[in-house]
This record gives sequence, structure tokens and C-alpha cells, in this order.
Amino acid sequence: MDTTLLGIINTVLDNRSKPTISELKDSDHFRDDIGFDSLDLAELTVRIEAEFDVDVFENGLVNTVEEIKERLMQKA
Amino acid sequence: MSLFYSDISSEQHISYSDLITDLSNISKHSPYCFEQGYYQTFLRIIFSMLSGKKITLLDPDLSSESLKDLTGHSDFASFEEPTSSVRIPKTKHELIQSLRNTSDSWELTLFTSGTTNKPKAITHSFKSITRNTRLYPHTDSPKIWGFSYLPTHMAGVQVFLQALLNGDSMVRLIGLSKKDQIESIQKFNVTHISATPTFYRLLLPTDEPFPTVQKITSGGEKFEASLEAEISKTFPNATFTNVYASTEGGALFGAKGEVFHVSESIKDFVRFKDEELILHSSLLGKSMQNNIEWYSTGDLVEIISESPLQFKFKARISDQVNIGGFKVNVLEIEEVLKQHPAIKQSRVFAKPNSVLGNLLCAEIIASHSISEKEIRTFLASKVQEAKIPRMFKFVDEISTTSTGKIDRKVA
Repeated sequence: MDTTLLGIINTVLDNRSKPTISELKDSDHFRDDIGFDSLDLAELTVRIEAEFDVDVFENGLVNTVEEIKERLMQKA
Repeated sequence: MSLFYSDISSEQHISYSDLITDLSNISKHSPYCFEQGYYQTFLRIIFSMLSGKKITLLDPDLSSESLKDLTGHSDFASFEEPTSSVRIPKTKHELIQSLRNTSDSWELTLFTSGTTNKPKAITHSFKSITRNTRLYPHTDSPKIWGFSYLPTHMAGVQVFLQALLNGDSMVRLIGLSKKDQIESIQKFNVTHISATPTFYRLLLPTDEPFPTVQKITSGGEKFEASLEAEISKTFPNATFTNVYASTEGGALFGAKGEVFHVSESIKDFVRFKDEELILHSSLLGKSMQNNIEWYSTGDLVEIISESPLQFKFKARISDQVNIGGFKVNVLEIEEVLKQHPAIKQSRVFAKPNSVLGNLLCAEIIASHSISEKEIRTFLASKVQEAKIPRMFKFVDEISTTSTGKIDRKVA
């Protein structure tokens, strides 16, 4: 899951010509550490939904990598 | 004997003399026309005109549920009535004269395609539906129409009446493969084609030009300047007209290229409010006239000049989507995408999203290999960041509605 998630995050970053990241830490904050804005987050949810069939923002906003992973685990 | 209608996919070739024979064999009239074949639909409309009786056109692909929803009935057989008193003309010339004098009791009801909402019934009289039909002098050589609209929709009925009331021929193009369309145009020496921009986008480019075509008409959707160049290459001898038409009002304005001209005679019946085109009810079908004086079209236009009154069509109000508070006109993005040599056609749409409300997405038909990143870079050089779709999907086909417009209801 980590590798897939990293791949999706980097696709979003690369699409906006932002620097990509080489590893994913659970504590990473999407806005502060990864550099996402709200459009990037929206794109991320659509891409995650396409991959895992889960809308991770369904029950409110998600701020960190760990929170996303939790939501994915719950649904799995 | 001259040809009335031809369809190479079903090997149907009907002359005016066949048409008269078939009309003579009809013994019943029903106010509802729900026919699978195009020719059967034409036959039913002509018969209703000759008998001066009302007729309602229903799309052949409607489910029994939608039929009931639209008409309030599920069984149409009980509405059939014998019609021995209808006098069927004996010759083509007589037939056309009779049809040109269709009685005021005749009414035709059809439904809007519902590109953006539920279909609604519109009723026209012979006068309102033929307002823009031109009758040409007998000396003119007969025209051969490439029939490219559904006969149960406004544009199809208008092309059909234009052809019929002049004794012209029609050759089916709608719903055929590209190969059959090309063969039909060449085999029958088609002279006139009236279709949606989407129809032309899917037909073009072709290997060879069609020199026999004299007139190309386009309507029903926004037409982009780049398509005009393609059209003039493929139809080198054709003049090109863009029409503004709707089920509610029929054909109202014509344009060379993108700029529509409002003629002096109807100028006082046309208004604009917040860029939206508003039409007086006298320009609309009979059924619309009872309810309202001014009708909001939902079409956004840009006024080019006040005198003479000229405007450019910008978009349907419903073509605007709200992306996190930013209004995006999906047609504008589709038009920019079309400028990329590797992109044949696209559909830009809003996908509901829990973060932003909507996220802009696009489906792309590529003519040769191109990556999402390349499309993005291309768009970034042309439009604002917020207008760049965030998700691209490469597809082989983009769904169109039964009228041949891009289907905007698919999410």
C-alpha cells in the first residue's frame, strides 16, 4: 500500500511540477510537509478512489499520511 | 422516378412513387408515432399532414417506462383510428402541393433532447415549424440531403420538411459507420448536409474531399473556428452556415462562421440579460406561447455589435461548472484541447468531490500517443491553472446523445 500511495502522491506533485518525494513518513502532513494545496488534495482523493475504491475524505478532512492509511485499513 | 429516401445500411431505396403507394396503403392514424425505422416515421408524419391530424413523435429507443412518463399512456394501439377519408395525391407534384397547404388543424409535438434536464413537450403548428423552410423555384435542380439528425427531433423534422416540401431526396447518414457515411455521400452525390459540430468532428478528416456537396449547415452546439477550416478542406465547393436553433424556437439566426446575425424583422423579439439570450414567445412553438412572454434560453452569448445586432455563442449556462468557487466553461477547455495535434476529441466535465465540491476531469480521444503530462504542459501554456483538468482518461469513444451532441449528463 505504501508504494502505491507514494506513487499516487508523486503523480499529483509531478503533475503540478512540484518536487517529488522519495519516501513516505506516517507523520507527514499533506499541506506542510508534502506541499499539497486543496486542489491537490481533491485530486489525491479521486486517484485514491480510483485505485482503492475508498473515498478517504468521506468522513471529514484528512491531514496526514497516517490518517489516510487508517481510513484505507478500515475499509479493507 | 425520383428518389425520396435511401438507407444503404438496410438497402432501402424509396422513390416518391413508392412513397405514394405506401401512403395509400395506410388505413389507420394514431396520434403517437413510435416507429423503429426512419422511413416509417417519415411516412407517419406525411400521412398526419395529409389528414390534418395531430401527431406526437417519440424516440425509437425510449423504454416503456419513459414512454409512459412522457405521454401518460403505455398502450398506443387504443388511440388508432381508421382513416378512410384521407385523399392521397396521385403524383409527386400533387403530393408536394398538398403538403405545402397543410391545414391549421395539424400539430406536431416533439420532446426536447434533455441534454441537461428532463425532456419537455413542445407543440408546433405547420406555420411555426416551417418559419425558416425555404421553398425554391421549380427550375432549381433537386437537392440530395445527407440526413444527419434523428427524424423525431426538431432539427431532423426541419431538414425533412425542407427536403420534402421541395421534392428533394434524402440519404441517411446518421447512425452509420464512417465508412458507410462516406460511401453514401459519394454514391448518391449528396449536395446538402445539415448536422451537429460533433457529427462533423467524427466524420473528418477523410482521405478524399467531397466535391458534390454545395452546402454545409451546422447547429445545436457551439462551433469552433478550427472546425470550419477542416470542413472547407473536405467540402471544397460548399458554402458554410452555422444556425442557432432550438426545439422551442426552430431555426432563428444564421451565421457565417461564429457571428450570428439577428435580422431586422425579429430584432424586437430578442433581448439579453446578464449575457443570456432571451426570446419573445412569438418566436417559439405554439405550446410555449401560452405560458410566458419571454423565454430564457440558457445560452450565454457575447454581443459583437448593436446595429446591426450580432452576437457570438459562448456556452450553455449548464456548460459552466463550479470548481471550488471558480467558474469554468467546459467548452472553452475542450476547444483548447482540440488545438493539440494529438487530440481528436475531448469531453471535459465536473466530477463530484468531497474536498472541493467538484473536480475537473477530462476524457480524451487521442489520434496518436500522448501522455497526461504532455497534455497538462500544453494546457498550462494556454489556460489558468484552475481550468486544467486534474484527471485525464484516455478513451476510444465519447458518448453522444441521440441528437448527436456530446452527452453532458454522464459523470
